Amino acid sequence: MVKPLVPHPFRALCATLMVSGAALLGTAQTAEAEELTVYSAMAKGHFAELMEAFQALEPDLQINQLIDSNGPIMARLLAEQENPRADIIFGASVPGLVMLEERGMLEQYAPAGLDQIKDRFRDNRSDPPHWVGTDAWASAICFNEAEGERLGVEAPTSWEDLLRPEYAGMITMPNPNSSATGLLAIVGWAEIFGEEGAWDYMDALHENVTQYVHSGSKPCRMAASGEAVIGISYPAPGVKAINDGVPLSVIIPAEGVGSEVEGVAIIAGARNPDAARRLADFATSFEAHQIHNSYYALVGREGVTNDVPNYPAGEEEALVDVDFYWVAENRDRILEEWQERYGRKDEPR
Amino acid sequence: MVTTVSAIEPPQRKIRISTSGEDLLLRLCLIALAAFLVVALLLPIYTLLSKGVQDVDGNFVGLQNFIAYFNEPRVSVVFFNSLRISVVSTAITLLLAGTYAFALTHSRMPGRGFFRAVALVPLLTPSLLPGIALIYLFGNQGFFRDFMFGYSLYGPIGIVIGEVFFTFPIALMIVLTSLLTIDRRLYEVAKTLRAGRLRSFFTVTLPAMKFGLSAAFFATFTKVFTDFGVPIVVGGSYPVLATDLYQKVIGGFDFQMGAVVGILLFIPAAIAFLIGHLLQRGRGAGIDGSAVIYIPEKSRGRDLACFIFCTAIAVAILGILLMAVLGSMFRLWPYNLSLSLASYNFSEHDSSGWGAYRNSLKLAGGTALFGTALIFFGAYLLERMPGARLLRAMIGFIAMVPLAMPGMVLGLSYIFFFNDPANPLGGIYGTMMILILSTVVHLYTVPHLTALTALKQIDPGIEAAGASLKVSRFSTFGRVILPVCLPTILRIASYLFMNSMTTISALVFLYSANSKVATISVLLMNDNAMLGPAAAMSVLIVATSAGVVSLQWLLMRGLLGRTQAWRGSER
Repeated sequence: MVKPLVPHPFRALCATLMVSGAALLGTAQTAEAEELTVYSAMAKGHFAELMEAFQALEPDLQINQLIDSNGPIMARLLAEQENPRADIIFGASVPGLVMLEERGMLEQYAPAGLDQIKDRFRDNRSDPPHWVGTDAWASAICFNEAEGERLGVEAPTSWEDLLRPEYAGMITMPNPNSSATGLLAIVGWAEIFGEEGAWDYMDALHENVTQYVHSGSKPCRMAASGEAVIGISYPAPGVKAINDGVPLSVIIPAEGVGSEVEGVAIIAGARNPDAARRLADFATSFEAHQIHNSYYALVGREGVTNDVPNYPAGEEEALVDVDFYWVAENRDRILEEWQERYGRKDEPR
Repeated sequence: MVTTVSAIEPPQRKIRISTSGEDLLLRLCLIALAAFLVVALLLPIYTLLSKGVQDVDGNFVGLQNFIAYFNEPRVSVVFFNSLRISVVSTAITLLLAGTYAFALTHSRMPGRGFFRAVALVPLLTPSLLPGIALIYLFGNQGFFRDFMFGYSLYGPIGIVIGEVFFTFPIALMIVLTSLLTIDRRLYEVAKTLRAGRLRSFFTVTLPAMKFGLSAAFFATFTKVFTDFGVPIVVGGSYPVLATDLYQKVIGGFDFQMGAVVGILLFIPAAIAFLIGHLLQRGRGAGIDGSAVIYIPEKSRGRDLACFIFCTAIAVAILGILLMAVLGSMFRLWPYNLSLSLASYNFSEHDSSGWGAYRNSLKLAGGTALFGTALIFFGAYLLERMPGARLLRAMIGFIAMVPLAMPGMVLGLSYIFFFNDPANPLGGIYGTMMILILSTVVHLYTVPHLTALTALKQIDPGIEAAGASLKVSRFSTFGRVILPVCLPTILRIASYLFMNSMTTISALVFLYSANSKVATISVLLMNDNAMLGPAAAMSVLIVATSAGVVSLQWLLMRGLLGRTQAWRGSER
C-alpha cells in the first residue's frame, strides 16, 4: 500500500491556507469590468452627487474613489509617482495641480466643451490644457449666532475684526499643511495685506485661535456644532449647515477674500486613460455644472449661474486675484514658515 | 562520569533525524515561515531604517535627517509631550486597574463577574471611540462641560482620559493574573504570625503584584506612547509623536522626516519591550502545583468600599460607550437632540458609505482565517518539531518583534517596501491583501504566544507514541494536536478578528480607493467634524466585535464540553 505523503488532516490545513491565500489573491485581482480610479479632495456631498450622475451614464464602469483633504491626496499622488494608482484627479486645488504638472505627472487633454470654460478656469500655459477648473470658492468666516449670543460677542464683519481680544480662544482655522482652504486663506491675506502684513496679521490672529485643524470644512462644522464660535473656512459647509437649521451665518469679510479654483486632471501613465477622459468630458459638461452650481456660486462654464439658497451675497465682487503659479512656487516656503511660527502651539487656550 | 554529560542532553536529540519525506516537508514549511517573516516584517523595517538615513533622492546622508528633525524647535516639545502623556496616563491606569483587580480578587463584593466583564469592554472599541464620546460628554458643548472647570478637553486632559479608558483592560488583565496566583497559605501563615491586615497587604499582596504591575506598566506605556486614535480626535493643538507622524506624511508629503519620526516612535517602545521581556525571564516559578487559591474572608467595610469603587469605574466605562451610541442617534448635535438613525446612512456622509464596513468585515475575516492558520501552524513547527534548532530559535525571536512595533511604523515601512516599482510583490500595494498582510504581522505575537503555551501543555510523548505506532507526524497533528487545541484556535481567531475590526494605526497609510475600512472612515468623518456619523460607524464596529466575542464564547462552551472532557472536572 502506498502511504500518501500528506495525510488528510494536514491536507485540510493546507487546503485552508491555500484557499484563504487564493481568496486574498482574488480580492487583489482586477475584475473583468472596466475600472476607473478617481482621487478627489472635493466636498463629499458634491463629489457623491457627481459620481452618481456619472455612474448613471456608465453603468458598467467600476469606479474606485478615494477622498481626503488636498494635502493627503497630494501626498498619496507623490508617494505613488513612480507607480501611479490613480487615473484621474477630480476636484483638487489648482496650485496642487500646477505642482503635479511641473513634475510631469499630468496628461494634456482637451475635454469636450472646453470652449465653454471661462479663461481663469483652465490651464492657460499649455494647449491642450493639463487641468480644467470646475468650480471656485472664496474664503469665508462661519459664525455661530447662538454661541455668540450666549457669550456676548457680535459677529465679525472683516478679517481685522477677528483680532479683537473678545474672540480669544473662539476661532479655529485649517492647518495649511493639510488643507488647501488653510493655504487659500493665507494667500488671500498675502494679496490683501502684502506678505509681510499677512504674517503680522497671522501673528495677532494666532492669539485668538484655539485649534488648527486637519480639513478645510472642519472649522465651519465646528462652528456649526458650537465646538468653536468662529471658523475660518469656505461657504459651502456653512450653507449646508444653515439649510439644516443651524443658527449659523457665513460672512464674506469686507477686505476681500482669496479664491480657489478646483479642477480635474488626468494622470500621466494612467492605467485606464479612456475612462479617465470620459470622466473629464463629464466634469466639464453642462449637466455636471448644474451639480457644481448647486454647491458653489462660481463655476467654470459660461452661463451657469443658478442661485444657491442661503449662499452669502457679494462673493464674486469680494474676490481678490490669486496667482496660482505664484502659490505653487511659494507653497513649500509659506508652509515651512507657517510651521515654524505656529506649529509649536502646544497648549490649547 | 559520562552519564552526567548525557543527562544534560535534551531527550529529543536522541530521536533519529532521518531525511524522510515527512521531515523534509516539515523543514520546508519552517523555511517558508522564516521567508514569510523576512519578507513581511524584516525587509520592510530595513527599508524604513534606510529611508531614515537617505535624502529625497535616495543618497546616503547618515544621521542628517535626525539632526534636521531635532533642530526643529518644536521637536523636543512633541517628544516630551508624548512622554509626559504616556507617564501620566500609565500612572493613572495602573492605580485604577490595580485597585480594581484587588477588588475583584480580594473582596467578596457582589457582582464580581459583571464588573470583570464590563472592564473588558474597551477592548471591543476602536481607539477613536473614547475621543468621540468625550467630545459629547466634556467638549465645549458637552453635557458635563461644567465639570471641566473652564479647562479645555482638547489637549492633554482629553488625551489622558481617552488613553486611560483605552488601556484600562490591558493593565487590568495583567495585574489580575498576578493577583490570582497568590497562594492562600501565605495569608494563613501571615495570620498565624499575627500580622495585621495592613501588614499582610504590604508583605504578601503587594510583593505578589510587583511583577504584574511592572509588566502592566510597560504594556500600558508602549500602548499610549504609540497610540494615534485618541490624540487625533481630542488632541487639539497638542502635538504628540503619533499625530506628528501623520501630519508629516499625510499632510506634508515628507516621507524622509516621516521615517525619522517613525524610528523615534519605535525606540521607547522597543526599550519598554526589552525590559518587559527581561522581567518575564527573571520571574521565578509563580505558583506551584500545591498552591491554594485565595478566598477572601467577609469584611463589610472593605466589600462596600470595593463595590463603590468598581461601580464608579464601570459607570465611567459604560457611560463612554453609551454616550457614543446616543451621540450616533442625535439628529443635529447640539441643536436638535431628537433621535434618528440618519447618521447610519453612511452614503450621505462618506464616499464609501457602507462599503467601508464591508471592507472591515473582509479584512477581519481574512486576517482571522489566514492569520490563525499561519500562526498556529507556525507555533506548532517551532514548539514540536525536532531538529533545526537554530532556525527555530531565530524564528521564535523574530515572532516577538511585532509586539514592539507600533502599527504606524509598520504601515509606513510597508509603503516604502511594497510601493517600490522594483518590488515583484508590488502588485499587492493598494489592495485588501496588503491590509490583511500588515494586520496579520502587526498582531502576530500575542496569538503566537497563546499557541505556544497551549502546545507546551501537550505531553511531548504524544509524538513519540505516534511514531511508535508508525503514524505520520501530520496524522498526529490532525488527530490529536488540533482537536486538543481547538479552544486555543478559536480564541486566536476571535482575537485576530476583533483586533482587525478596531485597528487603525498601520492601515492609515495603506488603505486605497477600494480598500477603505470602517476605522479609516471614522477617522475621515471625524477630520471633517461629522461627529454623529463617526460615532455611528464606531458603534457598528463595537457591535460587530461584541458579536464575534459572544459567538466565540458560545462555541467554546459547546466545544469544551465535547472535546475537553479529558482535562478533568476543574474546567
